[in-house]
Amino acid sequence: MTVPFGWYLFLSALLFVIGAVGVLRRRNAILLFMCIELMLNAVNLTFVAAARHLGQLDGQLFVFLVILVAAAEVAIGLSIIIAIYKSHRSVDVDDLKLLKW
Amino acid sequence: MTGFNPLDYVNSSDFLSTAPELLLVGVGLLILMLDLFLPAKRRELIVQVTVMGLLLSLAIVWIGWPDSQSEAFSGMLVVDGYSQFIKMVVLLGALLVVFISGRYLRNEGIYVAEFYELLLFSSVGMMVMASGANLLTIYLGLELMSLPLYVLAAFLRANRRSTEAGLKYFLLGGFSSALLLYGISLIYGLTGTTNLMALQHSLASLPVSPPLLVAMVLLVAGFGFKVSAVPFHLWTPDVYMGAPTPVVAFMSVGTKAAAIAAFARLMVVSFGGLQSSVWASMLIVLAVGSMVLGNVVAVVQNNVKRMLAYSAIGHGGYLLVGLIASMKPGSVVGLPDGLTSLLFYLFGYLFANIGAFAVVIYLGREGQHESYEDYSGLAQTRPWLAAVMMIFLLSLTGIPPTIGFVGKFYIFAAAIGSGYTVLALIGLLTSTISLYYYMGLGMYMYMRPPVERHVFYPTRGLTISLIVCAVATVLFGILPQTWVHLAQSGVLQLWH
Amino acid sequence: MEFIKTLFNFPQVHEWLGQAGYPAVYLGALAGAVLALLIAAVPILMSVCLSPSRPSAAKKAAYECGVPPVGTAREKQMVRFYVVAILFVLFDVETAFLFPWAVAYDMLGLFGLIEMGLFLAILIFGYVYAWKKEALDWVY
Repeated sequence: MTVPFGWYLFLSALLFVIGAVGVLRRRNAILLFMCIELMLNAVNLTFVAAARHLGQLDGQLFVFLVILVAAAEVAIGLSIIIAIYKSHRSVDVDDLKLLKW
Repeated sequence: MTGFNPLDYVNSSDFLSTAPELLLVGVGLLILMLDLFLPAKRRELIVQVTVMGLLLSLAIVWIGWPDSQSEAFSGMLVVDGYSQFIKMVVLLGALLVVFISGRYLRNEGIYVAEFYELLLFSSVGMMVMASGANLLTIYLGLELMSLPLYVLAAFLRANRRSTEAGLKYFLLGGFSSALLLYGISLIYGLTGTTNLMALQHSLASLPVSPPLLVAMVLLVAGFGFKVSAVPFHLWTPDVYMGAPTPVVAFMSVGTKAAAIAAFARLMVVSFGGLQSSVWASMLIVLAVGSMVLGNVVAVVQNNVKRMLAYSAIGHGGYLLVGLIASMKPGSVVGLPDGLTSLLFYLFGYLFANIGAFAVVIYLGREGQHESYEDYSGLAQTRPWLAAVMMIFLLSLTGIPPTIGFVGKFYIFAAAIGSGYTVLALIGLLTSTISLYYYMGLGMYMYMRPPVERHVFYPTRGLTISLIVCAVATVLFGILPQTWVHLAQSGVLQLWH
Repeated sequence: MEFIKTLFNFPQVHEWLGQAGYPAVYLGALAGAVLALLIAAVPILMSVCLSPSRPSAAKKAAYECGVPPVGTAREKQMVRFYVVAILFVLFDVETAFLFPWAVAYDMLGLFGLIEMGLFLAILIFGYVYAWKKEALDWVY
């Protein structure tokens, strides 16, 4: 007896929506970025749950690669945010006004 | 598990068929080491190594042009004429960008080795996307393409516009690839596979259900972002304006080519079944929005880079029209189908767009001399430069005898052949609007008196690439047949 | 753990669980979590309730003996850590590939060894680059 597949899907959808709403509502670049990471983790949960549900390993393999890509994204994102902080003295996306959004 | 032998899954032909990509990765690593261990005086070697690597990779693509589709790495990648055509576009784009960026990099104080390094890795990502036959490889290619581009967009660390462009591109890009990935995970959950061919079989028996629709919307959003289709275009004008010009030139052609190639392969191979009309209607919204908004908003711009950004949105719309046309059988007799037109359009867009950005680089440093007024009287001060710019603008508008005309003609013809007459009409109408702003710039160059200043930044590389782009734009506009046949044979190989 | 098992082995519990449709195996984990919370919370609550409390300025200082603190603990971190931190994130996660390889080593054999060697070689390229670019040095 295990947790049904649908519950996992629901949880991951919830996580994903929390992340997506965060991206749209938050103004601090680092928080925005953490919300994106949350979305990626929701994706990972879906993959693992689906792989288990289907009795395959492909989904778990996907997760490895997503984690690695996310790590590379973290490194690049943080570097860019630091560069922004050095040039703008702020990481609030509302302060980025040189270019019209 | 006895009797498991990894060599059953990998063989030497896998490495041979991915040789162009592997070579570029090797060259990238070589550049890293050259940068560390070469004395400062000999750093010029890095440029030469980059150019040689790209040329060699292009040669391998050209010599090994396949007659039929073949799989590599257990079907994770496929090599066919379609993928090779896109790789050719990407490599040519990268080469031209290396040529136009030489002096620019020195003027802006950009670190040369890292610039070329990231350019090469990004090209590899684009090539992987073009070959990707599994949603996993397509995603990995997309990230390998995007991550270096985020850095490149923010490359001028002291320039506030550039870092801002980098952050915007990164945040919105990360968001969109998360959307794409969630779409992929849902598709995987629904069908149990991520292989494009296997997906086709699973989807054939799967009705259009809400989860499938959600997954599809997410996939469309992810790819739409990379093609900068409305409503996922918000980043485009800002990034094009703030990012270093050679990067924008590369991005505008390469990202678009790779993303639309992978997207088209997904749509045509996997989703080309019974419900293809549902998916097509989704794309029609994007295509119409891009064509209309891109071209209309471009009219009111006064910054050339920003104008080219909005025009890039419009061109994304035309490419989508080609894709939509290819999702329904039928074509005008004697003219190529939607996908062939799409490939040819990309080929033409490559020369015209990179040429136009080369002129921008010729005219001024980053952030300077980008307004229309700075182009006043260019026909008197630099008649040849004005002439080639005029050729590029004509091609982007789609006026004969340029390559842009042929591409647009094929795309609209394919749309009419598949029964999307209204779409073709909207395309024609928006092209007329684009005439207004492209020729507006032409008016400044030819009708206005010259402005006082006009420091130019010519280099041999810039001149060469301007000549190549202009000649290609006109020559292949008159004699497009070779490339159309090449594209057509590639498209026919998509289904083996 | 035997205790928890017997606790949940009553037929009534099973019946109730069956009605609720809840996967029973996880109730053990839940019980464990509650127990852990209690074990942590009870002593703290007891010490709050039972011990006498007569605060004075000297006792409230962060260190009763020693140097008085200069500022708050909520200070910004040194920027010099960030490059190391970013590099750590990158190289740390790469081990995600090493574990599956190590588990399946005898099946993958020489081929797997060469593949992993190539993978590590590429990583080392990056490492050497970071090193020579003085990304690991102390930034002043």
